[in-house]
Amino acid sequence: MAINVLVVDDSGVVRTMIIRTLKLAGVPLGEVYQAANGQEGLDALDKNWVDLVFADINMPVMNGQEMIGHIRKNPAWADLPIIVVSTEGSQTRIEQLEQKGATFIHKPFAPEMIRQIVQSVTGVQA
Amino acid sequence: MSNLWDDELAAVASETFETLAFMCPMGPDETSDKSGAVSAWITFAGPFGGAIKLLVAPEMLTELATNMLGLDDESGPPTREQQLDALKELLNVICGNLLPRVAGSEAVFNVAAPTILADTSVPQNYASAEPAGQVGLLLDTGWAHLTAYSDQPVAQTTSALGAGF
Repeated sequence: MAINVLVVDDSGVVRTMIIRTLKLAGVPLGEVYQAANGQEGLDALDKNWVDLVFADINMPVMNGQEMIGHIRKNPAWADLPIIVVSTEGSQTRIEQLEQKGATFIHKPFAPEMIRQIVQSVTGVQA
Repeated sequence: MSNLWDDELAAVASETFETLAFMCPMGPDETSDKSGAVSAWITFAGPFGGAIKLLVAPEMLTELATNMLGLDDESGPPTREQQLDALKELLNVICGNLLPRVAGSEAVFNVAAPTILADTSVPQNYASAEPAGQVGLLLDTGWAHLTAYSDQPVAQTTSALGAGF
């Protein structure tokens, strides 16, 4: 089963790296949507069916933590799998994200790690 | 004499170049001619504030972006925007990985978006500051120099924060 993915990061290079890594890891991709900040991410979710969200934390306009807060308040997205890809090193902040149901991947990351976590949060075999 | 910041900056920068850009540092670099160098800058705030400057040889940018983006012959060379975006992301990853190593994993920092500097000089608010740490790396296609600045004396950024060293 192919999954629709939304990648939210203010860096075009990072968005490209995540999408390339998903392909390298053999994740079956359907539609891939991109957004440059949290607000654009919410807009993309409004307009499209998304199975999995990748999000950065530090972004302009609306950061990743705020975006995840909005997602979790919407009953339609309450259980949407979210993977935060960040350089964040603070265990305190990582725990705050995990309490909101997000899974954390530390940058730099390897394709194998992405594959394992995507399998874990979506149940889709890569 | 090297300090904790020097050592951790060297370790994190080497790991990041290898993992993110597939570029292996071959040893320390002491290039003094930095003409044409491209410079990225990032600031952070938290238990202490500071900044990091990354200066790279201009000929490295194409390989850096090509490797990070996984471009091939069919993709064509990276655009200038992609090259600078790749440099900024490299610095972002170095900064994010350095801070918990010098301040401990409980410290919470807010890291600003990295920027490209117009020239190689340090922005005014850090122009007269003594670097907390610095390292020069020799890579196969050029060199990279990193300089870290802290608002507090180096000793207070580590021992006083209870970092695990």
